[in-house]
Amino acid sequence: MSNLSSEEKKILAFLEGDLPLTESPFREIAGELQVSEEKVVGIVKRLLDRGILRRVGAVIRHRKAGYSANAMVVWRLGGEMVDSVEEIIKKYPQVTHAYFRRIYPGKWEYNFYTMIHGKSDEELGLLIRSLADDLRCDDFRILRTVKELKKTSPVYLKRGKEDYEKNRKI
Amino acid sequence: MQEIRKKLLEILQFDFPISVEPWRDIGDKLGMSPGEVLKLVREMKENGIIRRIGGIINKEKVGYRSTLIAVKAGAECLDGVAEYLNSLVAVTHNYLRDDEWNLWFTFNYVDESEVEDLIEKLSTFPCVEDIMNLPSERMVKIDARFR
Repeated sequence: MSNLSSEEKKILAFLEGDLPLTESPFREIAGELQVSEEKVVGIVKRLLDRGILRRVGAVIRHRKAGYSANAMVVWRLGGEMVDSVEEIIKKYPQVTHAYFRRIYPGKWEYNFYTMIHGKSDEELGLLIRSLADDLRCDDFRILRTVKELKKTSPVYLKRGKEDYEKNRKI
Repeated sequence: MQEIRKKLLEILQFDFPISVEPWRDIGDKLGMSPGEVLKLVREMKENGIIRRIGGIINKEKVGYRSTLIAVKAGAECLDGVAEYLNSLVAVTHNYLRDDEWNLWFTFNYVDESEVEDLIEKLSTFPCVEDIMNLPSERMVKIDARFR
């Protein structure tokens, strides 16, 4: 957990939501914190430099932007590929997320996960084929999206105690 | 106009100016007034291409972790399980997939016990046959920006 001032926390909570689509989007939060807009902008830049913010900008709905064929493809990658995956995955902007994850020996041995987005089923199929060649891996499983049940932006700073209790107790 | 929209969407994702008047800076690049930029941005927000304009927080740096959880569930109570999961703030993505492991969701948490409690609760649904907790062991790429 990084050391954050209360000002920084408030600015992060503000940025977790939607930037107001007004002429001066930082005016409101600056007023709340009783500092200048320039100061807010400076703090945002520092949060980016420190890596606490990955980026600031637009998050798009890829389905609406024409990427209608989406799948999670899981791979059973051999040890020899583990070090070269970064280079390979970097070449594919259509792969938005790639992670190594825990395996369950004897039950689920796919160790590498990719989220792939294509503009058609055909394009998605070609992408997967090309990726399989590059990763030199034929042991994979395609899990196509049947339905998006929920997709929301995460809430960390603004999460209330109630939410926390709700998650815990259940 | 289509070209301008495309270019704007690219700037908004890859090169958003951190400044007091971001719409003016973007407008300078596109040869538009800040008001015209703002109008287009509002339009794209309304028609749903833009989900959000804001910050993407590195969750580890604010004390959170997240995991992917796979559930093998029968049709009888699938809706109930999905509805329950969707009600949790900590579940940000929840997908039905064409596999025997048919429900996949992400869960973010502060304390490992939250994951244990969740799995215990999910096991009480009669149609849930099996659950796998699949925490990340190494992140290779995360970049959901499209040109």
